[in-house]
Amino acid sequence: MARTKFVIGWLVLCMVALTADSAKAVSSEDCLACHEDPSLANEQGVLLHVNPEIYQASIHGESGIACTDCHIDLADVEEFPHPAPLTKVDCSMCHDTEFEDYKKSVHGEAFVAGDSAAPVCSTCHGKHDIKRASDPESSVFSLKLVEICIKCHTDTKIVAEHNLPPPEKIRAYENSVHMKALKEKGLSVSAACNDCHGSHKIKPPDDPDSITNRLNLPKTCAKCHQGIYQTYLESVHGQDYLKGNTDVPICTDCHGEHSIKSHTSTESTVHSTHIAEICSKCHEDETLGKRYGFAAQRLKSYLGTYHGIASKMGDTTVANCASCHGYHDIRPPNDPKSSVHPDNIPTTCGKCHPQAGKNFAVGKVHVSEARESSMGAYVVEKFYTIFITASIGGFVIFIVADLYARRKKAKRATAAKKEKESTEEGSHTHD
Amino acid sequence: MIRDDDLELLAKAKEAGLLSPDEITDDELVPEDEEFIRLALAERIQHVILFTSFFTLVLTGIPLVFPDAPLLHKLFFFPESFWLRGIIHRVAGVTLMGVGIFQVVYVIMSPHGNRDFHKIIPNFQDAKDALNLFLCNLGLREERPRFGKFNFIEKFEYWALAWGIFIMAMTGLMLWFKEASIALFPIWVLDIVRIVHGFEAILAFLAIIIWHMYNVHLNPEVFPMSKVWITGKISKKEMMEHHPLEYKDILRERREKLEIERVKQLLEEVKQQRPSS
Repeated sequence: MARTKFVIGWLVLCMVALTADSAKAVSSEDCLACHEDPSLANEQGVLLHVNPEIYQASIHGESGIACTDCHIDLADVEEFPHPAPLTKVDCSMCHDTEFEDYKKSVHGEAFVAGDSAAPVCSTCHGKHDIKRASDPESSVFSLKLVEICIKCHTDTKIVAEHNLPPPEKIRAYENSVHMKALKEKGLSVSAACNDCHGSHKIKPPDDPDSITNRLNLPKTCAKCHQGIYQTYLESVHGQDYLKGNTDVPICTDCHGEHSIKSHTSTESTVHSTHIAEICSKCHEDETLGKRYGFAAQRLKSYLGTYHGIASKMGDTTVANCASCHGYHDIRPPNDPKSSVHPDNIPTTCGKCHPQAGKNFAVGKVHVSEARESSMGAYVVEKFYTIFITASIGGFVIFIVADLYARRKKAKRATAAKKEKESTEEGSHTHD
Repeated sequence: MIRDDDLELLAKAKEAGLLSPDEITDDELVPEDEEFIRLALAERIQHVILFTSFFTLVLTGIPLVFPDAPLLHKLFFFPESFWLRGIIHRVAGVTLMGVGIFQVVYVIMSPHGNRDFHKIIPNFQDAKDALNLFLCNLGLREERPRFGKFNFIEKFEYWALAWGIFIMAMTGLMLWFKEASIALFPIWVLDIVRIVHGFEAILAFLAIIIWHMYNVHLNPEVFPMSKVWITGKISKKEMMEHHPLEYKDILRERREKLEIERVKQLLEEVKQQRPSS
């Protein structure tokens, strides 16, 4: 009996050992025995080659992850070639937090719903060649990531089927200051797609949880532009933003989104020649004007000045809205910290007009030639309008009278000539 | 100019019946093909500099008056174009002011300029002439007014121009040296200055285009152009027709000169005869 028990125990041990042995039986070397062959392909002609060097250099290769750790259904295979197709690799086995984020994202939702065009882990990260995102060799490293996103988002078929933003909008990024910094300057910290949209958790901007949602976007930009964010929060716009106001301009309303350019570029929406346009999008808007009591005719009165005209003609040295009001730090004029507070006007104007004194604050800057706005300007304009009309009218009347007299004289002269001729003829016949 | 004692001599001679009144005919005094100097070379040069700088100022100033004209935007196609416009405008402005200052010196220093300046000072007769010419053109009055060297139209243009240059120079300088102006005046004064500069420019331009262009270009009599600004001369016929009073003065002066010469000649003859007789 004891002997039987021993035999059974030994057998069980052996089996366990055998099972364990059989689990280890398929090693990465076993896989490579076939898959190292560059010409290895299945019946459909799909290449099944795995370059061992590339895999060894990958983050998983470096960490000693074996083939069957991901391709779990091959762990027990004893016969080779093993049956195909294999079960899809499930990254969530290890990367569960990332997968949870992904599932909630616009891409993950599509994947769960069975959308074949939905990007999965490997679409962005690769397969056997996966590298750490911070590794410059990684496909999702900031300098390379854009290429991956752009591939699907400029694919007209995918865009049309999924009602995605037009490819032009996406491609506009390629000429942006962020892309320029990445590509031309090689500045890896410049914003790539994921910096603004997120990576695993990408959501459409109308989702309140999206980092590109109106109420979150300034914080997203602040990840890099923190100082400006703080200045903005203190401004008249930022104060309302903090209250959850959605009318108030956020970063992208002035700077643009994908197309964002350096403010020194003439194409920039905030280039000195375009500032007036951008500000008047809201400040000349009737509805917003009524809602927030904007001072009327700011743009018109600006465009009528030398500053406005010169700016329109492309002069970049003249004052625009931002030169006086500031940009990120705009404050209402009654705020003592405002650049257009009466006490600060000499300093503000003095930026360009060094000898500017108190006189700059005496009188209005936004002058319209209306009686209520500026009596002097109104009177002078009225006077000249009347004076010019009267003078020109006088000239014209005088000229018309002169032409009339000349015509009469010419007629009389021809009549006299004819009469003379006819009398001469008459005298001839008489002879 | 004829000396006063010569004129006295002439008066005495006439009293004594030494000269028969119609001895010298007008045609003898002024040959048919004589041309009269209307504008001296210095004046013609001033005029050329004046109108080139004037039109340069108009062209470089128009963008500020009509900033919305799309054609103008095409002119300002390179980034420095608006800046360049400003530079050209200022150069032309200084040139025009230079002409203005030269004119002042010219009418004070030059005998010709000084004499003409006295003739261009407006008087009450000019107002009457303007009214009479207007009424005559309408056929309400028979006799056309007779003019001297400068008629009321020319006087008006001259003084309008002088006034215009003065205003434009003053306001222009204030806008040019805006920092200095703003140190002296409140900003609303500069707003008015800017408006004045613009409207005065429109007025000057329209006055030139309508009034001056009609009188020296489009007027059927001179069309397509009076050449006085180039040659500086007018014919006897034009002189008699347009400046009869000036012509009369010229005739009188020449007649007196001739008569004085004759009187002197006669006196000389008498002197020579006396010792022999």
